[in-house]
Amino acid sequence: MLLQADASPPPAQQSGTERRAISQLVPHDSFFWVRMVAITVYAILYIRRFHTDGLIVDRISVAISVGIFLLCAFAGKPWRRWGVLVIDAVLYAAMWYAYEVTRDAASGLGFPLQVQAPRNIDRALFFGYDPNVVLQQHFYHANDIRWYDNVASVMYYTHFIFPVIALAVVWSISRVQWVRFMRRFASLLGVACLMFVLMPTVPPWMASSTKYHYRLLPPLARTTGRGFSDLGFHSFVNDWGSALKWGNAVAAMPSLHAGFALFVPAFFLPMIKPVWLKAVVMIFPLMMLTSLVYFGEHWVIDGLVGWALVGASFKFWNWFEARQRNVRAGRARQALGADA
Amino acid sequence: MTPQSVLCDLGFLHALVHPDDDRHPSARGCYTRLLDQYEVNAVRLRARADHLADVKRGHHADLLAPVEPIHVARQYRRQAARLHQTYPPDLALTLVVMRRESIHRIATFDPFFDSIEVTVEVASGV
Repeated sequence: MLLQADASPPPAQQSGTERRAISQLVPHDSFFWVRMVAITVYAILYIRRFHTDGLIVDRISVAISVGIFLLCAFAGKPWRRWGVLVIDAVLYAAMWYAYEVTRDAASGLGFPLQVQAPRNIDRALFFGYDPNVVLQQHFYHANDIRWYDNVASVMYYTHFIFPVIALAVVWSISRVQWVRFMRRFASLLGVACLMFVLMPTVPPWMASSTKYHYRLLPPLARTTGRGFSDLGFHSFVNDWGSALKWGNAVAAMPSLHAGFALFVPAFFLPMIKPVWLKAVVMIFPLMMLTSLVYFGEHWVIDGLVGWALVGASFKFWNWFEARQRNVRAGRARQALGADA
Repeated sequence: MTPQSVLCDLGFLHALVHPDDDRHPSARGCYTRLLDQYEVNAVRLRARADHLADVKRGHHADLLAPVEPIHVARQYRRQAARLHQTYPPDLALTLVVMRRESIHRIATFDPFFDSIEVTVEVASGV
C-alpha cells in the first residue's frame, strides 16, 4: 500500500508550488447539506414552538427534542458512528433515570432533614442576616412585577434549557468533547444525588411557609414563574407548576441550578479568547445564585456547594485525563528508548 | 477545546515501528516531538485503523499507545473510489479520512502533502 502511494506521484504533486485545500480535492459528503438544512429547519421549528407553547422542560419532551436534533445532526454519518451514538444515548438516558429515581427516593430513606444548619451557615456568611429575607424585603413587590423579576425568572428557567442545548451541540460536533462533558456532568449529578439522600435539606421557601411547622423565616413569596409569565410564557410555567408536584422538595443541597449555571460556562471558558467576554460569561452563575436566593428556592450555601462540586468534578477529570495522557506518552517513550 | 489531530500515515508508522527503516531516526524525532505536544493536550495522535493493522499494532502496543484508531467507514471508501482516477487508492482514502475527520496535520514522508494546505510534521524526502 505504501509502495503504491510512493510509486505513482499524483497530479497535484506535479502542479508547481500552488497548495490546494483538501476541500478542493475532496468534496463534502453527500449528506452534508441534508444535515445543514435539517438542523436549520429544526432550529426554526424549535424557536416557533418556544414562541407558541413555551419552553420544553419535562424530561420526556426534552429527550424527544434532543433525539430529533441528533437525528438531524447525524444524518448520513457512518453506521459505526450511529452505533456509538445509540450506546451513548442509552448511557445518557440511564444517567437521567438514575438521577430521577434517586432524587425522588431520597426523601423517603429516613435520613434526618437539614433545617437549621443551612440557615445558620447563611447567617454566618451574611453577618447575621438572612439573604433570602433581605432580598425579598428590598426588591419583592406583591402587586408589581419589576424588570429584575423578569431577569431573575428568565435566569431561573435557563436551567432547563442551557445545559441541554450545550450538551446536544457538543454531542453533534465532537464525541471527544461530549465524553469530557458527560464525565464531569455525570459526576456532578452522581455526587448531588448522594447528597440528596444523605442530607435532605429544607429549602428557604419551605422553612418560611405557614403550611409547614418549621417557620424559621418570615413568609417568603415563591414566585419563580411570575416574571416568566409576565413575558408571555404561560403554557410553560403551567406545565412546570404541575411537574413540581412530583419532584423532591427537600433536594435543596446542593443547588443544581447554581451548579449547572457554572458548569456550562466553565466548560466553554477555555474556548473563549477575550478576557472581557470570559468575565461576562462568569457573571451568569452569580446572577443565577442571586435569583435562586431572591426567589427563596435555595440557601446561599446550597449554591456554593453546587459550585464547589462543579470545581471538584472539573479538577478530578482534568487530573485523570492528564494522567491518562502521561501514562500513554510514557509507555511510548519507553518503547522508543528500548529500540534505540 | 479539542486539540488538533495529527494523522500518522502508513509510511510514517512503518518507519516508526521498524528500526531498520532508513527513515526511522527521522520518524523517532518527529514522534518524540509529537509526544511532548500530546502530553500537554496540544495534539491528538490518530491513524487509520487499517494502517495500524498493517503495522501490527498489537506488537507495538506501548509505542503506539497514544495513537487513536480512525475506523475507515464504507462510505469513506466509496467516496475515495470516486477519486481513484486522480489519486492512488490509499492516498485517496487518506484524503477522504482527513476531510471527513477535519484533520489538517499529518505525519508523513509522502511529498504529495507538500502540495496541499496541511501541516506536514516530517519533511518530505527525508
